[in-house]
Amino acid sequence: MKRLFILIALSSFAFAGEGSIYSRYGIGDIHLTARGKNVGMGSVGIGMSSETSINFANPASLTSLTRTLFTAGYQYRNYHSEDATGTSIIGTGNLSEFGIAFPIYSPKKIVLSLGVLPYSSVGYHQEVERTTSGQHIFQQFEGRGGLNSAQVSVSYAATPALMLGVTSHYLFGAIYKDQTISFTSSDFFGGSYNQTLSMSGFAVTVGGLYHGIDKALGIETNGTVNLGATIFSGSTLDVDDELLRNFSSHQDTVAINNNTLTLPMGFSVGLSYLRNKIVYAADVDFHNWDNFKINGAHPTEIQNSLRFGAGAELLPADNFTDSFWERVAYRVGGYYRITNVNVNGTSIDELFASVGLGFPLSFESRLNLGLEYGIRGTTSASLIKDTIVRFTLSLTASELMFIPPPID
Amino acid sequence: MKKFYFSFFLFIALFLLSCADKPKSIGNNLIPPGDMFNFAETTFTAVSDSVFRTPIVNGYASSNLVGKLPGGEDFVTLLQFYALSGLDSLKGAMIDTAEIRLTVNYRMLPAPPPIQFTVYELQNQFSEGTFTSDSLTSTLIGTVPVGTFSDSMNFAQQVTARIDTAVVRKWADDFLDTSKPAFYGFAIRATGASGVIGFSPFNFYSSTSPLLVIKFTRNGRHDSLFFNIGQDTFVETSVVPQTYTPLEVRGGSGVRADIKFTITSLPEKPIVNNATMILTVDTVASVYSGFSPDSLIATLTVRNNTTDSSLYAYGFKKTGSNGEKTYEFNCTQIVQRWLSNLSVNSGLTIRWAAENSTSEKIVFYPVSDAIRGPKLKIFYAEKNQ
Repeated sequence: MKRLFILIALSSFAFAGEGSIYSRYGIGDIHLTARGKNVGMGSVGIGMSSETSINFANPASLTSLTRTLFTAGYQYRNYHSEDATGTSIIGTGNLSEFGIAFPIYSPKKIVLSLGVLPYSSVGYHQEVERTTSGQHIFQQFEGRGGLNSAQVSVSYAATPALMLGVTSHYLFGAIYKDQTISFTSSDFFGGSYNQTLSMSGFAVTVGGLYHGIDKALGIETNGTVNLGATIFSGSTLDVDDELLRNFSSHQDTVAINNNTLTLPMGFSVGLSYLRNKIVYAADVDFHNWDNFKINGAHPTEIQNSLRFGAGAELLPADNFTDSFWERVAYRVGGYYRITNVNVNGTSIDELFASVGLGFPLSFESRLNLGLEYGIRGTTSASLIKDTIVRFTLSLTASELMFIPPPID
Repeated sequence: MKKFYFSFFLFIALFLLSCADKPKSIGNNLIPPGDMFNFAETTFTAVSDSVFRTPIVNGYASSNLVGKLPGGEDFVTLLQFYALSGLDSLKGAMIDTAEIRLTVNYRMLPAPPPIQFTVYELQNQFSEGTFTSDSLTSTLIGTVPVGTFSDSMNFAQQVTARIDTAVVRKWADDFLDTSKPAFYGFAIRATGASGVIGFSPFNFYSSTSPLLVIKFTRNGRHDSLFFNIGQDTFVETSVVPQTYTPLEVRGGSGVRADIKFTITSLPEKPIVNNATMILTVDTVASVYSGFSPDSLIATLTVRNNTTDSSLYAYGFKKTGSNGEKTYEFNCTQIVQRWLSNLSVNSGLTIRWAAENSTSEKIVFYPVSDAIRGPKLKIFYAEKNQ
């Protein structure tokens, strides 16, 4: 149990990072649920399943796993932000996924998965410099932290074609907002307000995946079409709001407990089409952020979010006897998202393109690389335009990887 | 397997490289107005002032003061030498001379030379760590002069007073007699107008500390004893009752002032960025030495007015463009605690920083002077949090 707490604490730290100034709104940048190999495909995955990767986007897809899989991912992000006054470049990286999945009852394809993923992240730093009453004053605003999801998923094959799954999320984390005033003059004392919002709560994602929906509907295709859908329940998180005020002579703490934060429901639908060693996939995500509330109040800058994503993966050969480069997976994709942020009446939208490679390591184990390039926001209306580059590295290892090959 | 380990360690390395630079400041238009600190200033005028005298311990000071000021203040220095075992050398010897040598390190309004001080034998012991003006009894200082200083008392000059050898003879005779009190002390005080002269004490440099030199002859051979360790202090005992102006502080005698400000109309618990108390000096009524006056200390007023609060602020002299002299105290932390309800605002007590090493008197314009009376200027930041 002690190790579990250490792991969660470490995860909470590991998932923190700097980012866009837009993360000051709501609970920060909302991470996409698709990870690993899906990153290179425009982060789609609702309608996909694979024997060799854990698909966090849809718990129903876990039924495809026949062996124990382990996955861990790292993501580096580079933000080039600009507004009418200048530019800012920041790079940050952190753990992007950590999970394990294993079949527990093969006849019904019951698979259990445990994972820890970042759900949102806050990372901004702003400074305002001005002269008032003859004093040169600096005001700094920093935000960091975010929400993480420690989750347990179970999948089940209701029929050979229909897979169902459910994920129970324990959402936890803290958002730190520091506001500091300081002076050039040594005769003047600065001060700061350090707010900590510690949050926790439970949520559920229910997912379904239908293999061969084309056949079921009598549609003639030359491949296989899968249809997936998920529903995220939303959640009401308990929030401990603590304000630490630093004065020249002392500190004081104002604890405001028993606050709540309402996370909204979300719906996702996705299709995948497998033909000639190529998987095509597309997703639509919607989250009803209009229902997002902090202490019962809805922030005016938060709006509903909607995402359209599409991608494809080419895997020329999957046999271990084929050459290395034939077994490399090639991926491409992109997505357009109306984010949940709306500032000064302008919706902050983002457009991303992505490519990826999946390198075979050994039996059913892959090293997946994903590179994304995207633009978020605009410099008009006194806003910021973020040019974002994300590089994701994830390792998926099968239990076979740990079994020594037989000595010939 | 090697590929796995390579990937694993690559992952860990990248994880550890999770670095982030502080970005330049952009997007300031996106800061909600409610997040910004509002910065403002306001000035309060003191509502009351008062002056009081408190007994202070002058032991361990950097000067032992002797002399008289025109207002009637009378500073008396007390010296007490540790004889150790040296006095037994005088048994059976003829004492030729005994001298006290002191080194001048402070002068205030010195009278024309020669300045004369008289030396008396102490009748009782004293402790420099506790002795105050309240400890001075009528029987402490002998009434018969045993020596005289008469010199120009220039700065850094060593001055000498010849002591009646009968006093030293008595000490030598009593030294081995355990039934007799073993203390060897002198009081030095001014006999006429003198100004105030300060002498280096025992606890400073040994080369300038008080020195008792006894020269004697035994069996036709001349020899000397030197004593330069002991205890010392001084007290100010007014010859005439002192009257104080509404707002003044005096060194050496424990005259301090209380000033009270009532702070209203500020937001609840603001961040006090600077709180400066400004006292304007009445240069005509003040009495300075020829040296630059040292800094003043303002402390939170405490109930018994004898001990300093742990929170204090130094005040330093400034001269305005109009030649007006002020002392400015950075009382930010004190005022912050008042406004955070961590300390009761009972006002500020003002005293000299080196209160026991100076005899300066500084007079400030009082509360009744609406223009030049005490002011407290507060710069603060606040938020709607």
